Amino acid sequence: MKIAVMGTAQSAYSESSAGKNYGELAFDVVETLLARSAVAFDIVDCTVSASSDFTDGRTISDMAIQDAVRGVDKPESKVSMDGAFAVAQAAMRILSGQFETALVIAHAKPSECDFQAVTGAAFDPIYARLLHPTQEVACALQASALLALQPKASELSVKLAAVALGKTESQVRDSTLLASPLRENEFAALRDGACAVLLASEKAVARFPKKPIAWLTGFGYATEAHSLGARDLTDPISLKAASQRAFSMASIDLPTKQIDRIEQTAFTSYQESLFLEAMGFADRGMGFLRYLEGGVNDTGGALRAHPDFASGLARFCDAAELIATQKAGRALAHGSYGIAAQSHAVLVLERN
Amino acid sequence: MRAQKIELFEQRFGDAPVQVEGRIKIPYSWSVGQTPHSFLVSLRERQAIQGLKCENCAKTSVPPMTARCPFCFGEARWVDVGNSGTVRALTRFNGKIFALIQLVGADTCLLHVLTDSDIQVGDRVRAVFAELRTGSILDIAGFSKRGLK
Repeated sequence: MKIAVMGTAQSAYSESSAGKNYGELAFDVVETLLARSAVAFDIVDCTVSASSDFTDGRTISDMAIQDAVRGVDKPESKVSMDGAFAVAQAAMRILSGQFETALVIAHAKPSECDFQAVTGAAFDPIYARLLHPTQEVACALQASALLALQPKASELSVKLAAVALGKTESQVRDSTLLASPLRENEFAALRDGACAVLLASEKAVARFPKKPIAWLTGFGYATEAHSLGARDLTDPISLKAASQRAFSMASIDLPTKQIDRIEQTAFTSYQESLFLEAMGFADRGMGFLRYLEGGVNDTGGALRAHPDFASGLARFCDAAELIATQKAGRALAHGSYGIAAQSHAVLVLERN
Repeated sequence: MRAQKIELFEQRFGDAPVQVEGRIKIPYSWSVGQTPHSFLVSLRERQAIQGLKCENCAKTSVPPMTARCPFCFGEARWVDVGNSGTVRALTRFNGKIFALIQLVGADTCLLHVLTDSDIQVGDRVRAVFAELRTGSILDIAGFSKRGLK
């Protein structure tokens, strides 16, 4: 299995994108993507987008970007999941043999809504929602459970967030305690923005004026129990399953040796550690230290900029750029979504 | 006159991007379903917390969402679990203390709130039932350290 990554484009990720609507955010990255790839839109056979209806404030939120993806008269579909899952869907469309190329796009504009109300709506209305929990609550409960097992996690989390944000440890420690034990700087930084990727089958590469910047050689995704209480929050089994599928597809036996760089989507500094452990890059309890060794989210990841539902695609763009600029021979991109990261997608990118 | 109006408008709004205000408020009336119905009625009528114990893997889930075990999808039967349990995780957020509580006899945790501020992870707590119970998760007012046997 081998799918060509023909190009990527990302907007800036900012606290506000007032002055542009969703469609314009998306339109601009598609224009950049086409220009960088030196192709016209005609080359796109189908589109898969990722966005959140509740964040957009309208159902069927892919209609908000219909013009940007020239959706009329084209096979266009949406995943109401993180953008990394859209890459997997697009890859499967190409692998089906029905499409030779696919545009993948994700957009986020959380600045224009009450985002805590949006994440609150992800909880089941029967048992949980009447208590008014949010994503912050779920992630903080996860951090609390981990802290009970690893007393040093609090101190290591501050170090990790300081590295991710380019701040001092005392700046992180002094940031607002949002949901104990998590401070503001230990949470992903919610941002507006959009990103897009152009994928092609091996056969279709000849139709492009430029060579692929990277190859997608493996993908896997999985989910686990929705109820927080039915999960071991300190052991994300769905990420284990997703990564094992991706590694198996990419014929990777020893991920620690065969993958140079990791671009993962974590909503908290504690998740940065947990995810490295779940994917097998660190032993249990060693995830924070593995992160601090480097090669993981070197641009700060979601702690620095988190366009919700687009973050995983942003990580994929970053991983593809690492390959294109010869900084990695093989890189992993990861996306997650759901309450305390219920679901995960893992993508493997290579140079050849 | 028109030019004057335009000038006044510009003074008021300047170059700020135009935004449309909106609010979505959609009332729902969700059927809780057969399994949660039984759980919620036992809270209301008996002040008892029920779980579903799997006949296959023997794990007990609280609160149950469907009649099947969420771990192995085996057949499950109703059992009463304890009204007390252990706090496995907690967070203070927006003036509330949320917690995951593993009740005695349960293999999963219940998401709820704590009513005392001096509770830590690992502490034992017990359910405090609301006086007026309607068949809702709020029939448990919260969990407290007080009154533990």
